[in-house]
Amino acid sequence: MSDPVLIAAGAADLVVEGVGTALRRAGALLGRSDLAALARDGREELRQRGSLALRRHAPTTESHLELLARRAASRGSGPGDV
Amino acid sequence: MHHTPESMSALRRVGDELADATVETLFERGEVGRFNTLMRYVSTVGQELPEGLPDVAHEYLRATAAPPSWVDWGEMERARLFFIDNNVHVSTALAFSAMPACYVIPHVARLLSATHGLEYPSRRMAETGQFTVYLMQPDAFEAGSRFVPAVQKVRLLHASIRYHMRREGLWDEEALGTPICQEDMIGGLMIFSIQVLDALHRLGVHMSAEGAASYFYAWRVVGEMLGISPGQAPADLEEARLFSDQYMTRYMGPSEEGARLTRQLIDLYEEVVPGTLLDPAVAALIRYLVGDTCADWLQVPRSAWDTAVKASPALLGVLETVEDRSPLGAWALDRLGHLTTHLELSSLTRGRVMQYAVPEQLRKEYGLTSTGSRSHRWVPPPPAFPS
Repeated sequence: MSDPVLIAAGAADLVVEGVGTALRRAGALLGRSDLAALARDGREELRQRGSLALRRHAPTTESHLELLARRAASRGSGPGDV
Repeated sequence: MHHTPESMSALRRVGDELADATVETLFERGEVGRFNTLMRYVSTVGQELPEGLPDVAHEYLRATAAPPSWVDWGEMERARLFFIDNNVHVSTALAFSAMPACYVIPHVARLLSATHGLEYPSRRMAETGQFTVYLMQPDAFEAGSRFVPAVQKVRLLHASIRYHMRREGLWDEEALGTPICQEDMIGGLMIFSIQVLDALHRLGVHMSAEGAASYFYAWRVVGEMLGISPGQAPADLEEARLFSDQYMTRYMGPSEEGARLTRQLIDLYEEVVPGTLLDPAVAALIRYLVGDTCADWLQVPRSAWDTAVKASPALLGVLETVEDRSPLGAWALDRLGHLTTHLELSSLTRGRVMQYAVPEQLRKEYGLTSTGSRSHRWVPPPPAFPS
């Protein structure tokens, strides 16, 4: 899965956990000098969070039309086959 | 009604007697131009019909003004609530799944291609969207509604297509049956009802059994008003699964017309999506919803987005969790949904006025938020292949 997707999912998941916690963390951040490293860590955390969240919600089924199309193809149905 | 391949074949010979007779008389008497000019100003129920309207048109409009006598209004109300809850998803499913599904039936693609030319997909998409919006108005069947006149006009439009296709020899009736026959009308009904529910499921949208059944019910009412013979359409989702799967597997396949219409549809949506960065996502979403086999038949281009789009139902799942747990999140998503639907429709109709305030109105009137129904989840029945 691409990074932006994972990060977006991670960010959404974070909202679920509560914006409050994140805000408290952000407040604590302001006093620190290693912000760049923290940002990298944050990004990585979001990525992993996203990966887990997507797995939790991932669909397991095929497109219904796909199942029908395979069936139609195997029966030799085609254009003009009315 | 339970259908067999034989009973479905019999439906290929039947059109829509009432509308066909009306159109034929209008053409015979040279009254089509007058009818069209006068009817342009008739758009709401209860409006006085203009003077000079041909008698046969008067008779047709009177006979088709009422919804079927069997309509359960409580069920229609539930259908509206379902639509309010899922309006963005339903629009997405109609646009990216139902439209291409029509093109995957070669004889339907041929008919659509022959009747509309280049402008076709945008017009039909806008009309379908508008039609659905009219249907979902709280007063869809009452005085002032735009829905019933829209149905009456679409039904005559179908009859005039039958008339022209036959007259101009554009249709091999021996091989293909009547143009826009009963089987194709019911097939179309399946594409816009149960197959939209299939697409919603594929998008990861949670539906209640009650909501899914009522959404189907509303389309069954519409189907009968559009000329499907009473008693012929599947009565519930179970029968719909059977008809839909038999109909699709009987006919679905590749065709030049299907591929061309799909190309036009993708071009249209890419115009609607702001910028060009997200353009390949359009094809990817179609491919995701209809599956690889149909997408290849329709020559939907592949791209790197195919993988990213696969995450969309999962993202939707995450977003729904946000909506359920946080009032702020629910509000933000609601606004986003409203904007998306508005954008989709207004772009497609090229700025023509769309009455899209329905959902808001219902929520205010009834004080509904209807989030609770999600807990009892409806899942589409598995394929019902003919034995």
